[in-house]
Amino acid sequence: MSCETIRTHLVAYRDGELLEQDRARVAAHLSGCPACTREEKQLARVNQMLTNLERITPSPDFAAAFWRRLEQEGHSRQEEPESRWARWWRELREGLTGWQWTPALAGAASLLIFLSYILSSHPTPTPTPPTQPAAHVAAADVPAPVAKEPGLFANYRVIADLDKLSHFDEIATVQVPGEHNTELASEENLPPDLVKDPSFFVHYPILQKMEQLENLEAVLDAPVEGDEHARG
Amino acid sequence: MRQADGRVGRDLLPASVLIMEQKERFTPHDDPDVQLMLRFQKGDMEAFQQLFHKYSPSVVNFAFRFLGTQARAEEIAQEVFLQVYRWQKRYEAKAKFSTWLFKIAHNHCLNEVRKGEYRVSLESFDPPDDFEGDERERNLPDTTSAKGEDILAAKEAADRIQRVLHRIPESQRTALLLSRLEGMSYQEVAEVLGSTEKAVKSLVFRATQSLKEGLRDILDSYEL
Repeated sequence: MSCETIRTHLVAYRDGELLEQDRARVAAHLSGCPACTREEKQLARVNQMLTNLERITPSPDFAAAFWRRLEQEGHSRQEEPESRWARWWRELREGLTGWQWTPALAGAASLLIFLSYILSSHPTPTPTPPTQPAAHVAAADVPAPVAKEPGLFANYRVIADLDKLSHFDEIATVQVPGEHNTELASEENLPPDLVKDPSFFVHYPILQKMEQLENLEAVLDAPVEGDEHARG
Repeated sequence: MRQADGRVGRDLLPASVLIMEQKERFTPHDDPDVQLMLRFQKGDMEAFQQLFHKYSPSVVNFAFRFLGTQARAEEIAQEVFLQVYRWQKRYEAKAKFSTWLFKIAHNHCLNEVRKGEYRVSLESFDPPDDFEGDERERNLPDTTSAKGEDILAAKEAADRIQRVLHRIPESQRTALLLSRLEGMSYQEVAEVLGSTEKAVKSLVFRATQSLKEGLRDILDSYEL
């Protein structure tokens, strides 16, 4: 091992926290390397200075103040029995360490997206107009972009179908018969998917809102209150 | 626990043997303090008093080194033990009592820091406004004697250490304090931080490097 690598192990070496194999390598290196030996001695001195720091003594009133506080608060705030849900949530939080939250949240997000896809795969009988968001959703819990445009949630199932539109670019470039076109569209110049399922045009006004899909990311990325705290 | 020079006492034995011994043989119920906590859970108030008297000085010291003021450290320590009292029914012996206790203490200190009162700019080498420094700073010694010079040097080192502790990230600070002042193993520190031993090894290493840099001139003077 190089001196640079050895030095990253020196603190753990002194702490007795290296596996035997690594410890033997570091010891062998130190026996023949004055520079790393000097570094090791300096780290030892730092440790010594730190462990020799004078420990403060709690003030004379500290313990008495605590028992007074316990008497005042402890008796007035007798612990209430923990509900089943509270217990489940606490155990989940305590069971997941900080670095475990990330994959857990990623998994939850994946599950959410998967469920959305499953739900969206059921045929919708008729397109429904945007509805008002559920009344029980507190305004404070709704990200700002969604609060401004409540219809985004109503459109979500249709938007989720966009994955299936492999020829969406072609749809966009199709010249729709109308005031700007004198030539009527025929089946030959329409994308095959559109010919098979003309109902896509029913969704066209909604598809135009694709520009707003950036708001979907905002919804998914919106921080959950208390999450940061839970990560400790 | 470590000896005064920071080296683990049983270093004649291979480290891997010690670690395996600790992992395989220790169960939380072997910890006498866990037994005290379980007694307290059943209503034995004397057990709680024993835990308070045994651990409150350590929690005060940890919070003092973490926050830099004794008054706030004592307040935090009181809150920690109030929480232990309130959570008595929820307590489950999953780890050593000390790791559970310092996990609570660490969280309280973090909350305190995040209130903004004790936040110190990383660029700044100055401690917080209400930083008290080391207690010994208040009564300057007579520096005319050799002993006085030693004491002054020790004060200077203690002050430097406290300043560096306030500069380094909180996770490094906790890892270093628990490892050095409480003599916790990397595994125990990892339990407190909700992290891994490997991560703790890195945290302690980086914190020690920062301390070494902050104390460089003092360390160099030892070698003259």
